[in-house]
Amino acid sequence: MLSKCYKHVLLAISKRTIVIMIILLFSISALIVPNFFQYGNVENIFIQAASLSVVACGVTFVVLNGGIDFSSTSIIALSSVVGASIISVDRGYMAGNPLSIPVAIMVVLLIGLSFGAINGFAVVVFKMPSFIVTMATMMIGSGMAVYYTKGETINHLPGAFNWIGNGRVLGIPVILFIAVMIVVVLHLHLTKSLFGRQVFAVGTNPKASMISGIQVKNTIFKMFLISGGCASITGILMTSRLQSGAPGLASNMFVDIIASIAIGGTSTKGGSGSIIGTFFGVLFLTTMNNSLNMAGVSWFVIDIIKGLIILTTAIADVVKKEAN
Amino acid sequence: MAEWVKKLSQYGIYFVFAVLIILFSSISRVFLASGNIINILQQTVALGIATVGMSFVMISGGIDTSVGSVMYLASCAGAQMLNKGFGIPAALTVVILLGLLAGSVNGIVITRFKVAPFIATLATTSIARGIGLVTSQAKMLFLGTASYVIAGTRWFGIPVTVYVLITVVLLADFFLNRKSFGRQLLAIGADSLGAEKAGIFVKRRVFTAYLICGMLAGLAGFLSTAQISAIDPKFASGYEFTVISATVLGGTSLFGGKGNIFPGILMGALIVTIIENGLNIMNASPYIYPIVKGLIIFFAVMVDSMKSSGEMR
Amino acid sequence: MTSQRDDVLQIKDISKSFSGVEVLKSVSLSVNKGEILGLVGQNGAGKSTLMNIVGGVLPADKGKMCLMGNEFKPLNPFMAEKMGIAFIHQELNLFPNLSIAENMFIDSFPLKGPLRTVNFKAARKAAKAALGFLGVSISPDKKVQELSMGQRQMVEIAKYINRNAIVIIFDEPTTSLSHKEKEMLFRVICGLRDKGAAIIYISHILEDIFELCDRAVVLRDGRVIKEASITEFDSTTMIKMMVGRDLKQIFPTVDKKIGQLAFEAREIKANGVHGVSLSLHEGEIVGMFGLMGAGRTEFAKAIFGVEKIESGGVFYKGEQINPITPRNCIRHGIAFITEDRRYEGLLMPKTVEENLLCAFWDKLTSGPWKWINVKQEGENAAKQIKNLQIKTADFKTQPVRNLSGGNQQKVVLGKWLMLEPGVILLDEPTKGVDVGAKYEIYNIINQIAKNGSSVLLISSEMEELIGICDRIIIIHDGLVKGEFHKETYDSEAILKVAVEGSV
Repeated sequence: MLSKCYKHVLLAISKRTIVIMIILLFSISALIVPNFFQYGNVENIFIQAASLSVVACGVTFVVLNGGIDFSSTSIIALSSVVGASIISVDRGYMAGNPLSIPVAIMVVLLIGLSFGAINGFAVVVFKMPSFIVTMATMMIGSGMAVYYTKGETINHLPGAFNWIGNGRVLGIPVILFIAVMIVVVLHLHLTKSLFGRQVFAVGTNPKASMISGIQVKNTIFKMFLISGGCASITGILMTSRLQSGAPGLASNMFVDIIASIAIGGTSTKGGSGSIIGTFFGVLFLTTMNNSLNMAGVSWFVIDIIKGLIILTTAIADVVKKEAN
Repeated sequence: MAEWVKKLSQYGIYFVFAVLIILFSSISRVFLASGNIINILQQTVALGIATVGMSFVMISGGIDTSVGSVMYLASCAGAQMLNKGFGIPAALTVVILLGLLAGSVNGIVITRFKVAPFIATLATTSIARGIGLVTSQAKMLFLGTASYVIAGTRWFGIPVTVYVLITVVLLADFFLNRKSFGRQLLAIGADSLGAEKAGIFVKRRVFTAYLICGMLAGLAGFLSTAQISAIDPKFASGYEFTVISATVLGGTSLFGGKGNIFPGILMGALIVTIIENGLNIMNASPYIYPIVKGLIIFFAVMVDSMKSSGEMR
Repeated sequence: MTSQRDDVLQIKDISKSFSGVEVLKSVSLSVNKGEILGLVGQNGAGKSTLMNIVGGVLPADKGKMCLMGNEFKPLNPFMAEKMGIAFIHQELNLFPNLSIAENMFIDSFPLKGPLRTVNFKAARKAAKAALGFLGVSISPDKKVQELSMGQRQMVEIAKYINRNAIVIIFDEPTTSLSHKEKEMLFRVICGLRDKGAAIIYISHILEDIFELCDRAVVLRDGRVIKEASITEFDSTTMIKMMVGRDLKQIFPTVDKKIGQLAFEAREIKANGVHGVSLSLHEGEIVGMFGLMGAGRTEFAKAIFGVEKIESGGVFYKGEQINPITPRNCIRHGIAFITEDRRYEGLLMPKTVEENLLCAFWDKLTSGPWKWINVKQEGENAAKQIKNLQIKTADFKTQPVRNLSGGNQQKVVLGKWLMLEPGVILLDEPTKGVDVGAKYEIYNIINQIAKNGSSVLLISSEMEELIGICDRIIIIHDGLVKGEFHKETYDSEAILKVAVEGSV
């Protein structure tokens, strides 16, 4: 059983050039960047990757249909402030109540799923382009987040909650456990479940899928639900890590999300891609972020590089498709 | 399609315009004061010019989400030129060139490399803003007296920037309705494969559309900074959504083949500006703005989508 | 002695093959100035291919063409158009959001002034003149989206008037026209002829051919059977020539029993279908013949739920299928192999395995997460590949688009057969398939019937239907106009019903 897992993992790794790229990046960083392997820097990379990977893997589902979900960053922010407002020890609605954390998590998930439902509904029923719909819901969501707290952060969150983002079990950060678990579940779901198969079929050719009996509208709707749900979970993770609810959380994250997905091998035209690919894309991106940062490169130059990454992978994707 | 949807989209815009004016003027006496009207006109200038550019791209069936970043890049460059004493004509030239450069990058990636417009322009958003931030070193850029010249100059009581807007609109109307370029762009938006078959040089026309959009975004950025004394690193961040709303509200379809420069664009830009201005005057919580903007785009595009049968992506 | 015929377009010994299949065999014909030549033949006879060669869409393999006495070899449609060929296709290439005048000049507007602006006045005038030439008076400023189909066709024709067309080819122009519009079109075509144009008119409506044409050419299996003045033809002989006796395909036979009523479609009305009823028995192979556009595919799509059904009911073993959606039909045991396998039948970039299983996945799931049993996936796919003899290098990795047409079609069949359907609707299953694979597919169809399933075989190939069907229904203009049983198969009579709507 264990050896089968091991073989599976090796197979997944060997097929991907992204892994080679990560190894290269790590090696170059180790040589060039001072202190790369010190002060828990590498662990830091993984912790940052944790949050990003959950939301990026969620958005991957939408991209597999040729669409996009801009609202994920706002869902993170809104989840952060609403969740914090429930559990905060001094001002929260359920301050001090032992059930406050589970309730907050439920509420936050509901928020993510609701946004996902609205996005999905607009795309499937009104046939609105996903980039506009999710742009609109993004604005509404972030507006709501800022409005909710009048721009302030919500602090003094209970220790039990903060442990999610900052605690350790057996020396490994809890947040990493949770993220890896979610990524694995999503990956398995995409590669092994009925829904996963249907996602690829619908993203490739919705008409043929419909004729083959697949419920296309339901499938697309579920893709948006997953994206929204993952975003809200990311909100929980990031809020816990930050130890406060912030309405501006994740506001710059979208470029990272898209760049990770693109470099991870998922085609923006839909129909092909993988969760593991996105995960490795996230690792690559956070490593790059980290090492360039430590090498003294300004954050906006890093942004330019990310933009170039998206551009090159998109062009490469088209060239690859034409070559076939 | 239902008759009422058609009539709504044709005349609805005027109706909404009238309702807004009545609404805001009844809530606040300040709304129709001449000072405020001048204010509204000034604010509409940048939006209007950017909307004209976006219209050309949308008519051809595409989209450009890099408008905000190009505005930032151009305004940084322009401001720095002015601060170094180069004078307005020189600054303006640099601004226009930068806009053209951005537009050409978008254009090449989309026409030659066939990348989907929203991904291509998403990438150029980061790149353009990044370059702009390099020039400003992510700090606030303070503007010198030259900007007051742009903002303050009035001809016959109307800010000079408004005349720029009018010129741009008239030129755009000219290119769309009087030159074959515009008519071919409409054909491309309706049916790009059919346009290719009919002998139209689709790639060239679409490339030009993105050039225009980039150039006007640059110009819009430059003119809008004239009204403020400093350029924030987050200037025009997300502004493309506002521009898209104004474009769709003005009657241009997201799906291509339909566009209305005059009076559509002006109406669209005016309505969006009036809503912001009105909310401001009402002392509405500033946190409401993005929610209102989001709802506006949502419903504008919803109506647009009901009229055409798009895919579910 | 001066020749009375001045041939505008001469086609000499043109041959063309696609993937080893000969589609045109040494075809020669000519059209002269001021005459209408009717081009007649069944689907697959080679009419479209021939016209595509004339129109510069395809190159000929052998032979040559002369236009106005000079060698004519168009490399692309633009060149053909420039040299004077106007090819008016069935699908019009118009932009509904632009005016008539703009549509006519979209690639080359008349310009005026130093600013090179569009000279709308000149365009309008020329458009009006072109329309007037056709005897049509519509304002050239009207947007195409406001025009009826007939008017749009007039605009399409007018486009070419302006370009001084020497040869005008009409490809099945009357399919979407009302009776009145058809009369107007004929008047226009005759008018063009009287003004000296050389016209080629392709149609399967023999009545129209006889009304309109001066001469006619009958094609069959890529060969010219007869080219002569229209007076030398009559309806019966024309049909005889279209059908012929070239049976080159051998059909497998099978021993089977026809059982009880399994499937019923009652008074189906949909777009292009005006009230068709059909019943299928167990073990029966029923053929559906008809000309293109008669409504066969529309009928199949309607009863499977791919297109909207206006009225009528679909019943399987007595139980009504409601609502009519593909998923529901599949659940009841109905399968539908579409005509267009590239865009509707297959997921082209995906593997053979994925394509074989995409309708079957729900049967392989287990557990609350609905996980797929990967081992069973492979087994089922392998079994289907063996049964149908699908030639693929590695079914787990080879994308379906790399397979030959025949193998692709087998994959589509395999996908549906995995569900063990009781009723199978096949729409042109052997289109674009080589002879060897065709035989294999006929075998598969026979086996399906032998196992007790019912088959509806929609096809434009008469021989194929006569070869393996127990019954043939003929659709004409959205209605069932005839039915023939195995014992009384008469290809001429069948074609006559398909073409004319009555025996």
